[in-house]
Amino acid sequence: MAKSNSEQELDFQQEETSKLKELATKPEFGIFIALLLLSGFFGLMTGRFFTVRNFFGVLRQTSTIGIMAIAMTILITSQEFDLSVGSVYALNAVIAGLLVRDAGINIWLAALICIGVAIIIGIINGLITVKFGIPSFIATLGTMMLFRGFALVLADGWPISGLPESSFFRVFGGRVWVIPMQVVWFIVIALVGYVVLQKSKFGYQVYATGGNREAAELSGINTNKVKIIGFILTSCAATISALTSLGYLGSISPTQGEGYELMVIAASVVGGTNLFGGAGTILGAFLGASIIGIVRNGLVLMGTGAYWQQALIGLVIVVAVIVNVQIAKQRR
Amino acid sequence: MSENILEFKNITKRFGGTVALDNVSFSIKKGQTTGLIGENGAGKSTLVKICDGIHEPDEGEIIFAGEKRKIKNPRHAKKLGISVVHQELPLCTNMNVMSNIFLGPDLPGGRFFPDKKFMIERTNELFAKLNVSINPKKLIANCSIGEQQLVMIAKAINQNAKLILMDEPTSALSPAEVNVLYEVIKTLEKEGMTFIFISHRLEEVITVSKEVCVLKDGEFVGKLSEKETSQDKMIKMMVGRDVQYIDKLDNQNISEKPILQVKNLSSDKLGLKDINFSLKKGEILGFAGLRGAGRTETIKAMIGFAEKDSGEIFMEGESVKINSPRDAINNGIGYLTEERKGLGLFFNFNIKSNLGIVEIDNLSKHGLVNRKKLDQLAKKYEDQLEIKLRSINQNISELSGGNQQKVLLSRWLATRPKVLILDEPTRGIDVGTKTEIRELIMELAQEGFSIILISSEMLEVMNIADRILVFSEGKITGEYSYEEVTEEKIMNSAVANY
Repeated sequence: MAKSNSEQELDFQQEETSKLKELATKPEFGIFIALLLLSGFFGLMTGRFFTVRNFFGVLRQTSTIGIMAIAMTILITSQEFDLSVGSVYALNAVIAGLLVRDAGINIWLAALICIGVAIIIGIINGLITVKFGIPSFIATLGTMMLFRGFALVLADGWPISGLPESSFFRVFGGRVWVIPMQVVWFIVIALVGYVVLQKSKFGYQVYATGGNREAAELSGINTNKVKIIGFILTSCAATISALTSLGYLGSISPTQGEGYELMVIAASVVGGTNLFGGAGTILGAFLGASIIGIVRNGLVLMGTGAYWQQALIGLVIVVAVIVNVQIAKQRR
Repeated sequence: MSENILEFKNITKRFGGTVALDNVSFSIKKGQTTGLIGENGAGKSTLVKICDGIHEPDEGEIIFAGEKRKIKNPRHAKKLGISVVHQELPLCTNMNVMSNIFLGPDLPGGRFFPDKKFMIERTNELFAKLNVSINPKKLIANCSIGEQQLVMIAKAINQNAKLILMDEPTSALSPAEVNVLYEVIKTLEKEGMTFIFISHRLEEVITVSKEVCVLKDGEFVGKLSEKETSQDKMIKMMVGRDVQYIDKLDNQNISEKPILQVKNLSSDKLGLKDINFSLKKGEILGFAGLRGAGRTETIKAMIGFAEKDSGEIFMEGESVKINSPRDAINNGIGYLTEERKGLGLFFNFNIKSNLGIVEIDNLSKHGLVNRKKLDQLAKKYEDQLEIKLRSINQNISELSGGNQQKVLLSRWLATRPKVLILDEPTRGIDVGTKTEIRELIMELAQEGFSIILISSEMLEVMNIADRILVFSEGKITGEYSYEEVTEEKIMNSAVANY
């Protein structure tokens, strides 16, 4: 097997077919075409779309949701959801901000503490779901409100700003040449997510758990553990995303990230992740998040009103998912 | 070759009041294939589940490979070397062949990454052992059932299985695939593998087995050696019990006019091939055969609960279009499901609502339910069918199985159906109520109801029905009148192979 070939392949789902046919049967193929068509459309409609500056601008805006969508794809593939990511995105940013501003802790240490908090949150979400058998949709709907409440209480409803200068802001929010650091983080996390889901032993267990939980259990896989790790990944991703936005903006709002959970799930599903588990790819999630980012950016460049933007993004999501499902049906 | 790998010693297993296995003792010889046969409910599946560690026997012991063993769960069974290939194959269809073979807490390879090269090689090695060729990277979703089965066998061998139990392995296979399976079994036997082959298809059992063990009503009836096995002998052992007598009520008013006719009913998905039958007015028509032979499937296709490829339905001589259960009800067909819990009762409802749900339109005015009428209806059937209850407002779950069944029966009687279909109406209920329901069925026919009775209990069909159709593999393979029917005749038609 050629290395370059295996790079893009889903190793445990692949079949040997001709190269061209293989490309067309890739789960990401349809979404990639959609991405090209949308880019072409916006490129024709506005001259400012195809510029280097705008390219990285779109990717930067996409990264906030995209980072979370990578982890969400792993979790949904194991047949669970996490609706609390938007709240965790706010809560951990607030915690970091308060630790730095009020307790005078170094921002790097604060970031590390936030990751610790994220792990605990992931375990809580996971345990509620697997130990008490509450559907994760409901369990994390509850913790979504809970953590949002915590964020508001801790910050007393006010934004936090005026944090001392630190290298943190360059690493999380600066630029390398023209590339924003947020984009670098997005790409790094996507690569890590790709290796974890599509190359590692853990990835196999995720696909098995989501594909046929009973068979996975019978084979000796601890499916509860797989799912809990999935929840830890989503809350950690939400936290890293929060840190990149803190790095870029330099300030925190306890209301930030409201509604992100649905955008994240939408990005993952637009990218071909099966809502019922067992199928999903990181490249798909990356492209799915990009589509949402491109539509938003393109509409802004075209001067579309904010209310229409909302409606049109919703429309794109629905159409993209319908197209994806139809392609998946044809492939069978 | 004569060494025993598995011995059952006085195994007894009870579920509540019913005895599923009664003091069963027999042994399985190493390195050959033993057939295990018996009617529905003879105890085969219970025995399989005991071997797989899903059920624990109440009494008796299992001796595997010379040691007394308590099998705790399926994983423990596998560890000991017992692998069960069920009809439902536990495979991840979203993954490929080799991933499924090695699926487990620890795939071969390093700490983080699996060793794919090894997995491919080992998978090819395993398939070479079976003398078959399947691409290790083929997606399970694209594998035929036969290939999936071979994957399960390869997986079992990879886990060092010493004994493989196959539960109805051929029921979903094409003839060519069945031959492949035979070859695989033969190849592995030579290497010392032991198989237990459970099937309703007696010819196949004869072909693959050195010995055949027969179960009947939870008891071990006997063992036949290769020379002794014949279809007739096997059938005699599977049936032929003391006939528990049910008084057949004389059914004089059967008219020659058919009330229901089904013509050329076929469904590829349900495995139905050209079903033709008619039901006379006032008649009890019995559907016999093994589970999955097409009895329930025919009804489901007929009432529009499952898709049919072709087929015409006539009610009182007129062609009718039935595309949904709603259409069936409007045409006067009532269907009492075999799955009382799954498809029958609403456990969030009380008794009277469960009883009146189909008639709810006729009990309502301007969209509001007339409680008085509903109460009257429920009271009427409570008296008529002698349903034992505290109050018609009780939750349905508080009733016994038999009384739940009476409520369901009342639900359909309330619609005054022209055709009443009863699917396993006495399954899972106590003996007393069973008799009551059987008598009730005969009384209903005397009152002029036309009834189709589906039952796995041969005696029930034989003693109640005026005419019996036997199904096998999606076809009607026998038709007998009340006078001429015998257990042997039914069984012979039920295992007929086309």
